[in-house]
Amino acid sequence: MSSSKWNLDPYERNGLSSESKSITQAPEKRWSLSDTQLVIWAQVGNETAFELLYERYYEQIYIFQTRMVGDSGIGEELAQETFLKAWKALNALRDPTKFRSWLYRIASNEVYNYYRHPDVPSVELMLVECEVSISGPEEEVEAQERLQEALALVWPEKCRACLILYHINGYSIPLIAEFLGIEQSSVRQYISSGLNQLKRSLRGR
Amino acid sequence: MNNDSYCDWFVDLLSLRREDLTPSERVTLDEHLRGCSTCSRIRTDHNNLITQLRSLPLRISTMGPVPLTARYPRVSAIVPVYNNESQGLKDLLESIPPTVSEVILIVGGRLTEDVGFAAEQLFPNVRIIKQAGKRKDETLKEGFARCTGDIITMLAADGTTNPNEIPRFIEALQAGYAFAKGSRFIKGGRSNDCTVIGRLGSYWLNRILRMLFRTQISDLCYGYNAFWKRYLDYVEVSRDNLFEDSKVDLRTSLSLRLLNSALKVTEVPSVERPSTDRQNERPSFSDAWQMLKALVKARATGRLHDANRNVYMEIRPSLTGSLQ
Repeated sequence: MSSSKWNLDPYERNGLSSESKSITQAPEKRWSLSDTQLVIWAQVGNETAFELLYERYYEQIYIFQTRMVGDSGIGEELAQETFLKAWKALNALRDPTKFRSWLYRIASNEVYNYYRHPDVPSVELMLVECEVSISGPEEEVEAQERLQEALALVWPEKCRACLILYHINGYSIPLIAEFLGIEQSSVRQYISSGLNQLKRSLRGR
Repeated sequence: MNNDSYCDWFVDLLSLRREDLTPSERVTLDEHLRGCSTCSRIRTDHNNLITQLRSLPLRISTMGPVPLTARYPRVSAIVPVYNNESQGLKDLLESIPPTVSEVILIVGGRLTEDVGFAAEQLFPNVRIIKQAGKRKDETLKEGFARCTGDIITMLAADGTTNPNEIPRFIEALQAGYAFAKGSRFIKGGRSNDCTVIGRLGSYWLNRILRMLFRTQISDLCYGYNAFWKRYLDYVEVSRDNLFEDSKVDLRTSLSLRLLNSALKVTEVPSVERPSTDRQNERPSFSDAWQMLKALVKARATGRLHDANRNVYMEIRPSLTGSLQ
């Protein structure tokens, strides 16, 4: 096969006429555009389209990564890095309808890479033993902090990612499997294992 | 197989949402839970832990997303007109503020000529969509699709919703929320339309729905709300027959759909005005009972799930004060 359809202009590849390009310039149209349209326009270099995608997904990615690493500052850095990588690699995304899954894949890889950095302390050093007992505002804040720490200690990272995406973000098992590139059966096992680890960690075992 | 490893299998199942289990797993799990107190206790522990996980505070970045534009958003107002509400509709159209760029009338019954003319005079780009048959959901979807604004707000043709409150909703949406839900039961909001009995009925209906859908939203039955049009992709307006069910109020259904869609939600205080159309019958106890039954059925069959599973939901009645 000499010419793959992926070699075509992104507009032609998705059956859009070049007139569609001018629609992106109309400010009143931007809010009603679908992700797929925005990805196609971003792929041909429309920065405004990518800014819109950024605005739509930044918070979700930031929250996911913050929950993963247990630190909002690092979560913010990772989220910025995720979008920077997504912008650079956007042309490699062959199916614009899979943008969200692709973005979550980059986000989870960013977290995995963060833990492989030599300056990051090991899980054993970070391990905390805690007992949850909520009775007043101060205790409540402490309990929430302990829970966040215990969550950040769920291991391996894929297990924690499954737990967060399933129980906090509310995504379905097939979608999580797509985000993380693993089998649905593995997602189920990871969720169960993650929840048990979290319980054990909170009990201080 | 010893007893512990037998229970382990059920503990694995307990960590998943019920809808993610196969029918046979559900049956087996239910049978096991009836006889095993340990697993029943574990289920309670799991539920408590998951609730704590979901209620972890969001430490949103101070930087936040890059603001795209400083322009004021374009606002589309959708006004469903199902009865002979001509006088109320005329008053409503006259009081819509200039911040609203277009008006879409969804007409279920007859629209008198003078109202149609007045609408066109006030809003040259008014769109009138006739409802075909009884499919309210399809008509509403068509109305949504025809909106060209960034924000969609829904007004009541009987004049109970005050269009002067629209800027308050827009302010909440511009603060970063996806869905601004009007509420008569938070500080700054009240109802001038209900009788004491009606207010009590509405209060109890809301309480039951809040328990049923595990949400903190204070006024699920109030249809005044606004949301960014771009989030329509996330709201499956007619995924099932909920909208077709004439017993379920259209705006309540839409609110529940929005609350189910993992969006960031806030409540905005709103003062419900007296209905200008006295020919309209107020919802009776029987209507409320029928609606409650339909929603319980939708909840039991899984067509609507907990609104509480949404981590992005924040209740922040920050905009207080009356516009009266």
